[in-house]
This record gives sequence, structure tokens and C-alpha cells, in this order.
Amino acid sequence: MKDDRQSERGFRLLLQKYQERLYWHIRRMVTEHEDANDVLQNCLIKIFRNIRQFEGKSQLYTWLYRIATNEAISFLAQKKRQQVASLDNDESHLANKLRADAYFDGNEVQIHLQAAMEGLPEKQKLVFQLRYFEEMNYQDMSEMLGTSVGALKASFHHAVKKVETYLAGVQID
Amino acid sequence: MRKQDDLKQELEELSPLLHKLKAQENPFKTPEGYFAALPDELITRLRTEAQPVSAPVRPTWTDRLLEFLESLMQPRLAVGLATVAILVVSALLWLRPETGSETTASEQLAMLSDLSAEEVNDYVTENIETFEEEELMVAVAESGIEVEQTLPAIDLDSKAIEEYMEEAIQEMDEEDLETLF
Repeated sequence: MKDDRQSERGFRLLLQKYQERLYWHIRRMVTEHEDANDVLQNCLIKIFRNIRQFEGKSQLYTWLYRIATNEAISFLAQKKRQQVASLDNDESHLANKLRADAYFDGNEVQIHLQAAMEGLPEKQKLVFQLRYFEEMNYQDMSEMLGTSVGALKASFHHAVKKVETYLAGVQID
Repeated sequence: MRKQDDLKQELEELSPLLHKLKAQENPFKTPEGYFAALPDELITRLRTEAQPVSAPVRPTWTDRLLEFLESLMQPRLAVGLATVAILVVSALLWLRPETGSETTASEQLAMLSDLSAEEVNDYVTENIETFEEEELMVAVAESGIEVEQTLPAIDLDSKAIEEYMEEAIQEMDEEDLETLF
């Protein structure tokens, strides 16, 4: 019982420090708040139950990010399988969804930026998100994704060019 | 998290447009108080999900002992067991070395007084499985003993059973319990 209370206290401290960062990481991947909340909660429960498996070989937040990323990728894959085929492409579908989202308050440029990211290959999208929005350095990203720093730099540069091209091609009021 | 100091420069070189857009505020919002409520929500969920969903409940050894004792208290079985016990004692007398003359059932019963309760107990415990039920039935018939008169009335309520069980448990050591279960 005492152990349970200590675990809970430790878990609360961990949440205090990381819950927002993990939430925003997941939210940018899955877009909608409800989905982000589901994924985050599952992710945090997994973290709580497996915290003893953290071996200290990497930084704690890298380990946490890895779990959150895997959880979000699994969620997106499952959602994609369940989605009925739409006449809209992924980018315009996302743009419409964001415009209707009560928890999205961005302007058209920001909507197009999200839509541009939606068109990127999964790994490129993740690298772009980690670098551009979350400002993660390449070394940490390399530890987290198991990819070389050089490959990550190349991936980010490709992603930036694709996003820029997309934005240049859309009519922005 | 180690900050990437050259991100700004990298973006400026790669895409001035994206560098400019980065200054805009995060467009994603959360419900009010979401982060404040999240820890309690998670702890509640952890506590709830920690409970076994529908795991079959394995009876404890006390449940089994209680069940066993209650079964003994069933009128039909209780009389049956008591009868068998009396018959076993009679059979025990037959199996004792003869002194030459045959003994009657009443004489055999009279001989019981020569045996200590411990001796009887030990013998019955060790040999209960070797007694044929039929032999025992014949023995009791010949003995003329009224079973109901020789047995104390068995009318224990659940409280009495629990008390008996507690006493029995107190007297048991670990080996007894292991043997029983």
C-alpha cells in the first residue's frame, strides 16, 4: 500500500513535468483533441506500468517520447484502416476538419501548413514536427528514432521543401 | 531537452517563409482546465483498471474447510459418518487378537473402555480405507446399537461451525494444512 502511494506520487511528478510536452507531441500527430487525449492517457498508463523497464540508457524524455510516438502511430494506422474511403484527399480532408474543430483556432495559413504536413510520408512528417514545432535537436531525435543524424537532417530538409512548395501552390487570403 | 541552437539559422537558410510562420501562436487549444484535471483522471483510471476484471475467484483454504465442515453437518451424511465411525470401532474390536472365546457385540463394546480414545483414533485413521462398507453395516446390525441414541444430535448453526472451524485451525500446524489442501 505504501509502495502504491509512492508510485502515485512519483507518477504525479512525472505528469507535472512531461504531460504537456507529450500532449502537444501527440496532438500535432493526431490533430484532434479527443484523439490526443485518448492516445496520451493510454501512453501515460503504459509509462506508469513500465517505468521500471526504463534502463537509463537514454534520457527519460527520449524514452517517453518514443512511447508516445509509437502509441500515436499505432492509433493513426488503426484509424486509417477504419476510415471509409473519401473523395477528398488527405490534405483537404484535414483542412476541413480543422476549420470545424472547436479546439483549433488557427488562421488559413496555419491550416494549410497542417494540410501540407499531412501530405508528407509518415517518417518525414514526424521529423518535420519534432524539428520545426518541438525544436528537438538531431542528436536526441536520432536516439529516439534510431536514425542517423545525417539521415534526419536530409529528411527535415526534404520535408521543408515539400511544405514550402505546397504553401506556394495554395491560394492564401 | 537539449535545445538546438542553430534551428533558427537552419530555417532561415532553408525556408524564410517557414521561419516567419514559426513565430505564430500555437493554433491548437485544449478544453479549459484539461491539464489540471488530467493527473486525477489518470490515477482514478489506474486504480480502476488495476482491479481484476472477472478473474475466477479461487476458494481459500478457509472456504474449503468451512465447506467441508458444513458438508459434515448435513443430517444424512452426518448420521452416515457417525454410523460408520461406530462400525469401525466394532470392526476394530474384531480385528484385535482373540483370547480364545468368541465375544458378543456388547462384550466388544464393553472392551472399548479398555482402549484409550487415542488408540481408537489412531487405528481408525490409519485403517479407515481398508474397511468394507458391507462389513461395517453387518457389524452395526449385529451390535444392536441405536445409532441415533449413541450419537449426539448434530444441529450446529453456521456460528457454531465457524467457532469449531476456528478451534480446528488453531490446533493445526502448517503440515496439517498442507496435507489438507
